Amino acid sequence: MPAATPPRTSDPGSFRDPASSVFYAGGDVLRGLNADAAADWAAMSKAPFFAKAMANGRIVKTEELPAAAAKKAAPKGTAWDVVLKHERVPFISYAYEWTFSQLQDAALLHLDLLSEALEAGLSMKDGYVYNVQFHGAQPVFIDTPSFERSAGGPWPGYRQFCRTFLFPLMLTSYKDVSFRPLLRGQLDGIEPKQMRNIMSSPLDVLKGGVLKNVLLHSAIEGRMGGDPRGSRAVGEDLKAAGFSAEVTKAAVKSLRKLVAGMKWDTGETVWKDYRSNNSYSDEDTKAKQTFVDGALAGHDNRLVWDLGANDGAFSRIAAKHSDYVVAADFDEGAIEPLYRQLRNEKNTKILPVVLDLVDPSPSIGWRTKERPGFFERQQPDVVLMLALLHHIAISKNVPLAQIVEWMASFGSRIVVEFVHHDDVQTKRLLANKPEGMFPDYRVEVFEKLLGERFTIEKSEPLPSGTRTMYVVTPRG
Amino acid sequence: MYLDAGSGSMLVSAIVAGAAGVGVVGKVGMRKVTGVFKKNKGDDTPQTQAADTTEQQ
Repeated sequence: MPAATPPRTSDPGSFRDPASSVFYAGGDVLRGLNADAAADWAAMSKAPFFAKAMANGRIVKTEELPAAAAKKAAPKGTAWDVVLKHERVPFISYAYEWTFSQLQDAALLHLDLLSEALEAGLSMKDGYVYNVQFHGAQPVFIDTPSFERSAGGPWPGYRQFCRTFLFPLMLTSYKDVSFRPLLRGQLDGIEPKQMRNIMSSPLDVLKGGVLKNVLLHSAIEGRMGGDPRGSRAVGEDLKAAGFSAEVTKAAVKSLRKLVAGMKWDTGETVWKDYRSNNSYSDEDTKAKQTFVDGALAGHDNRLVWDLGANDGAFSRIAAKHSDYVVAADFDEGAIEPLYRQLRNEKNTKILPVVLDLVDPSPSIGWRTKERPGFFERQQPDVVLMLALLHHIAISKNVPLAQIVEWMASFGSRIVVEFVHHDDVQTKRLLANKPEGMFPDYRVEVFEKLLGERFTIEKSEPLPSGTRTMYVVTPRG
Repeated sequence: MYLDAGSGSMLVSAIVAGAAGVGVVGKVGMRKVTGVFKKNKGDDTPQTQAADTTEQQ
């Protein structure tokens, strides 16, 4: 696992725009701009909307380095006209780890900023989902060079906005199908033609935005795609025909109304089911909370992962004793309501993500370095694994020895709960499997394996007697 | 990033703009839009993804 901040290195995902590039120096996130991007930055940094958006956390806090410091900070062999310093996003997440509401809020932020830029006589050069990150439950726009001085004409980002925001949202809102596998499989998002084929029921045309953004889009693209003069010349034609900033403003307003009106409510139902099916006794819950609280208190915890976070109850305890918590669960039905709650609280310390631990986000994109896998991003100080291992071991058939090896690969302090073979929850899972399939799923075996890789700081059985808590640190 | 906006997509964005985009569509797009419907009438061949509409980010 890489260190949190390698010294003076270029970001392997920041190469597509020749006008700017992100690099790291010490703990700082820096961005070099060429002359053209520097002129855009000069225009943007004077706009009142930009300062306001930075102040309220909608655009990542950014400052220009003095020339001498800029020269010193840039990696060898690079020459930038201006170097910007961005506030670090505590943990990077990608759209294929977000819930419906997270993607919807990110889309609205992108459109609102475009709208504000247009009012200020500026525009944006793209409409990409990877321009947005989350700081806790608040979306934040990170790709400052997306803003440019407006030359009039159409917004070049409309197509990309459809592919990476609008179509994925439609897929979930209109078809109740997750967008995450498609976004994970296609960095550029869903093509208009793919979306047209998905929206294939005759009644789909009546759903908001489908006629224009999907059916007409796909048909016109098929018709005009081969224009030999290229899209730049077509853009000039449209501008000459009166495609002004006013037309773009109207298009953005229409898209905003469409996106804001989309709904997906499945999450609530599943979560409520979970709450009523929760098998913990009150004594166990209290003892577990005290144990986790005690394990984290008094330590310098910058980053905590809560794997299998469910409704986020333990993420909240972790947030009291750390700078930042990533609350990960495979179940969008748990993460979606958690996100909505955290959003209402304006929480910027807990980042909710959807993550299947036995099929986690891999490294993808150019040279498989552009978007690093979940476990390749940043090393946590502490990992919480509560009421989790029995799901991986029994539902997913992963041997205990491999689970402990995986835990050791984090290189982090871990708070882990082992749910015994005779616990009611484990029995439920075992009932779905052939008799005698997991003879090694025993607390003694787990403890032995744990002892080979970790120093056990503390262990404590919960009052029910069928669950044991541990705090462990990796050996060596 | 700089990207290929897609010729057809830009025209669609004028249509999405509604009343504000009517003039643009009228001047540049009508021929192409009506062409689309003519082409699609009784034409069930799959549409090809033309080279210049793939993103060049």
